[in-house]
Amino acid sequence: MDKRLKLNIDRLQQATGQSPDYVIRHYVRDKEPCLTAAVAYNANLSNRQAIDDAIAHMFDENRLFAPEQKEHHNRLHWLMLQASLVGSAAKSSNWKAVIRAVVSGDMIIFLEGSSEAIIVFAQGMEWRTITEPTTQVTIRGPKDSFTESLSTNVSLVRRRVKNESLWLEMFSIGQITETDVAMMYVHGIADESIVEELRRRLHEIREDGILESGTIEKHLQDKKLTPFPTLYNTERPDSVVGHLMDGRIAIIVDGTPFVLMAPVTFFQFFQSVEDFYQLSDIGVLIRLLRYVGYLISLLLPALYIAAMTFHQEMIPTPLLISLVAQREGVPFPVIIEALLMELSFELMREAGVRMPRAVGQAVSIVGALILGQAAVQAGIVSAAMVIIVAATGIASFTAPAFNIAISVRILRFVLMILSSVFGLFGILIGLFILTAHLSSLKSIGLPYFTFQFKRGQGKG
Amino acid sequence: METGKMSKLQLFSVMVMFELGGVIALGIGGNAKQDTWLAILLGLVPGLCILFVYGKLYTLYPKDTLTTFIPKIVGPYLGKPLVFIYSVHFMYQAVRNFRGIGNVMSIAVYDETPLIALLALMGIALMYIVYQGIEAMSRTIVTFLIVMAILGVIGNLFVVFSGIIDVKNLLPILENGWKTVINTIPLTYFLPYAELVVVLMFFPNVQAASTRPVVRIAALAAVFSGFVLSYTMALNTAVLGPDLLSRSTIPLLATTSKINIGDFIQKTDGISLSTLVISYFFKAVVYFYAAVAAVSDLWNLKGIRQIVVPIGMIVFFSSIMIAENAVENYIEGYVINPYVAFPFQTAIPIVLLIVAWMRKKRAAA
Amino acid sequence: MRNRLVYMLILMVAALPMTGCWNSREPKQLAIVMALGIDKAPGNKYKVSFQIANSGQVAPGIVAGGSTYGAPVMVYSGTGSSIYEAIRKTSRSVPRQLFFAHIRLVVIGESLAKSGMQEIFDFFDRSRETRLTAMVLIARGGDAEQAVRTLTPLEKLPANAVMGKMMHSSRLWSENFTVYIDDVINMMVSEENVLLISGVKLAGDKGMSAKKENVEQTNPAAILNISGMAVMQEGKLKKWLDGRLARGVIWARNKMESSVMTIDAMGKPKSVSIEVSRGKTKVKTQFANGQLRFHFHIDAEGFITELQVPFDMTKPGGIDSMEKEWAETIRDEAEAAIKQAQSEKCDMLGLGQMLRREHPKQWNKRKDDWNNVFADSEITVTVHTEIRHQGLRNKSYLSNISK
Repeated sequence: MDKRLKLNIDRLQQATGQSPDYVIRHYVRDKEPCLTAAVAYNANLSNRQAIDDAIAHMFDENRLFAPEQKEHHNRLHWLMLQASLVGSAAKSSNWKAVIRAVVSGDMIIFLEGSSEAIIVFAQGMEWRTITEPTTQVTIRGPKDSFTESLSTNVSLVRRRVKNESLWLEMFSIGQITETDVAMMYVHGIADESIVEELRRRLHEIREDGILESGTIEKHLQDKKLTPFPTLYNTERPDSVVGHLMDGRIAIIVDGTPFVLMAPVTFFQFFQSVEDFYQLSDIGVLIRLLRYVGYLISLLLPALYIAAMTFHQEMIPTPLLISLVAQREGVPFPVIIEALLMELSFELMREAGVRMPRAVGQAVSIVGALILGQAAVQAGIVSAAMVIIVAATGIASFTAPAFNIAISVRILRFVLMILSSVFGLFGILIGLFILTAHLSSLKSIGLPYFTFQFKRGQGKG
Repeated sequence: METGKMSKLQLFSVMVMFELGGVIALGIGGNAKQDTWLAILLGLVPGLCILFVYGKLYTLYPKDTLTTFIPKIVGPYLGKPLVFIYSVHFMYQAVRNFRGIGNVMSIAVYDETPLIALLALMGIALMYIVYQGIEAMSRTIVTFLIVMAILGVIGNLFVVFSGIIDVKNLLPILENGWKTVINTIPLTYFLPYAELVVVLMFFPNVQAASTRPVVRIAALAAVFSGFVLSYTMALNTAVLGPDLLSRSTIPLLATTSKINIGDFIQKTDGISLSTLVISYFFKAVVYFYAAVAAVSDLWNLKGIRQIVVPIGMIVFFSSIMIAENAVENYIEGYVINPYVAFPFQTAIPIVLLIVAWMRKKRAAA
Repeated sequence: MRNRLVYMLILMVAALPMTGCWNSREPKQLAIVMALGIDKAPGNKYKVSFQIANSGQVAPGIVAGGSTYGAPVMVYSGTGSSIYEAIRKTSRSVPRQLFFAHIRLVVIGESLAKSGMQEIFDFFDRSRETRLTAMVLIARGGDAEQAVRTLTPLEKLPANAVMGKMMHSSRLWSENFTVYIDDVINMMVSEENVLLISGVKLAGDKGMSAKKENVEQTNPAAILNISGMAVMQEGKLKKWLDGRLARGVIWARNKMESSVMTIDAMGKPKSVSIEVSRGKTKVKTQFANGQLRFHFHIDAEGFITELQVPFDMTKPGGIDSMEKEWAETIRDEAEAAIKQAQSEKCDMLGLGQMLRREHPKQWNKRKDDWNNVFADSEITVTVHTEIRHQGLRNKSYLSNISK
């Protein structure tokens, strides 16, 4: 960094393309030319109050000309001390750090003749207030959710774990966006080797921009092609804290309320925090229900196809007669019908997500009831098929974590095709391969498809 | 050699699944008529003896699989050919079992599907599972053993509630005398107990403090599966009667086909078919893994991934060529096989043990 | 490069299963066979009739514009030298593939039963589609085909109707017991080789039986009734057992479930009705000087359901005397059946099996000449009865009617 003020200012303005939101205020005292200083900050990112406070403190006439400071060296330091009364302040001669500070919303003070600049913390952007979580809603339990601000999120975690062993590490990831990423864990409970591994992987991320934790998730995952998520994400602070105490590590990304947790097992995705708040006996049964729901959403269409086309002997006679009667007028073979219905259900689901709220209700009624009913009566699909698809859809929502349901959607189709060619045998073989695949997955080096979870030694 | 680790529970599950494989549905020792269950139970006696032999070999060489300690015992010139023969033996057994599933499926359900298609589908699954390594394989087997256990409990409940059990069918015990039972024991010993020679291929992968718990678990697994098999055969006999039992190709299927509760729950063939497929398939998987591990030791490869596919192809094509029809496979697989397998399962291990012991004595002296 | 080769190889193997689905059958292509009738056809052949469910007619609920005409079942028949041949031949007239997995009833024509029917069951035994749990009946005094063609009121599917009649009859009247295919096979393979199969008889106007009008009136013109039990030795029909004799055999074979027996009281014959709620028969085998002796002991429990005489049960000894009377009646029935069996030299009581199970050596000695040995053996019957209660009234109102 240069000593001349004008040069520094010019350099700053050039780097930012003279964007008008970067404000530069000069302070000149004619009688003392060595007192020329300039303050730079970003009007949209900074807290005006803090800036004004800091300036008032630093350039207070009385303090500035107090006999204690005479030379440049002292003067800069003096200014910094004054500023630090109001907010955290530091000196830096590193141009990159200075730029980064301005870009983040901090305030920079250049002094004529000094090759160092003062950086004063003054960030104060608008953030969304803490509201209820939109996903993973519970009946009983805290109703605050993370926001997009990293500091708010960290505070939400810290206030629940008032323990000095809750450590925080900051990273700055993304070539262009330089997004703040925080890693939190409870030292002593979390396994050090995993912490180290995560640290390593975070350092190795080479991306232009990190907009969401999902981008980081892709990099942190073990390198294996799989539809299953190996990192957990959540909007809920209580969930994160619960996992932290189990020895997991949280990764908070600035700009998104979704916090990542690692490492994680497959069965984690079926747990909801609410299981711990309600009675434990019911919790166990409900968890069992979720597993059954998952299996149903995976297997039901495939089983139906297998039973209808290969193993009609497995259906009780009166049911079979009824089913055959229903299919009398249907022009499609069972597999085509099933694929058709499943596809339309997926379409409806995607459409439902993006629909404006006002229209949502009407369309769902139209889609579900009328379309389904009309299709059956027109003889395009059989009533049993509609029931199967609906049951499958409902069952797929029982898993508390959304990303595990996504995995099912793909696999369901694969199993349907297998069952249409080979029947029950095909389904079994498909399940063998699926289970083997699941068994070979690792989440940050730890086995994925297991009930146990390794903790670090000792409690924090 | 594979470096994956198995837990003790996984070892137990793998062994039990292997033991029950196929036999639980197909039955064994049918010539003892209604005393089959007794023959199976008594087969445990020689079975545990040979397991003791295996255990001892393992204790002497805890870090070695069968194919790595053979050269250590008999020297490299005799050892390498022996390992080669063993790997062929394992491949042969894998092919037998593989073809066995194909046949059974063909008979029971898929009579119009070409056998190749069934075998191809299974072959892919087989190769994939073993490719993932011993850890993934064992975890998969644990999962499906639980599934089989649930199916078993449900099936048993159904049978009981259908009121089709007629204990009188088990009488008279020993009608044909002890001789028939004793004569059947060699058969029930070979299949399934003596087949446990494969466990020598993955004993060293088990995480345990010492060798004793491992051998203990192995013995427990053998006894447990023996009891399950015996019980199942007794159940089959009680439900079907000795005549039907001896004439059925898949007794378990015949038993479940008689389930009828309130005229609604009928035709639960799915239960026995799934049990059959799961158990038989994973038996082939275990044999296949043993074959692959053996070949990998033969050529001193690191790990097994490289040769999974080639050996998989060999198994696949062999299973097509090995028998012309189901009867031939049955005869060669169940009647002749025990004699073919005898040296590998019984004779050679015993000899190996003796030689190893002598070497140890000589070394100590 | 090597990786790609491996990949291709795997893909080739993987592609094999995708070339088609061979065993898949669209449910619409199926003709669900509910009942099967087997008759003798000239030239040492079999005539097989299939009762196929017409699902459009039978199923309730939404039917997506399918066939809504016709009777609930259609019957097709074909001939062939084997059952399976006949089945496949019928494909010439049936628009769908015959599907046997839901078969519930097999009816055998009387003429076929008379000339020997041991061989026909192998098809059911061996095929992977058929069930061993199908019920077996013999068409008495007629053809199986006619029985299978009959439409029934109350139950849309005649196969279900007949099965229902059989099951309820054996449970409530106990003059027959249900026999399934595997029971038949077991009976044939068993020591005595005596088959007991219930009969079904078409009563009424036989010509109307296959018409829809038959069921469209309050009193069906033709109706199927369960009638008697056929005794077959070595696969050939020898005689029919009816009424008391049939029930006696039921007692002897320990198949009594529930029935109504009328006994004499106060001088009036058959004036008291007792419902049998439980019946259990035990058989003991004994040897005395090389002579075989069987002893049947019957335990029966029941309660009084109808009094036609003013019998006073509150008097001491009243119930006891009734129990004694009842025991006598049961013993008569059982003994009559046993005597009949012995005189016919036909072990329809299952005694051979019992002997084999309990005394295998003795059985071995006698098994070649069993029928004669059976006829010569001594058989005794004792009965113990318990009347548990008499319903909601103690005395009949008849006791209070002034003469």
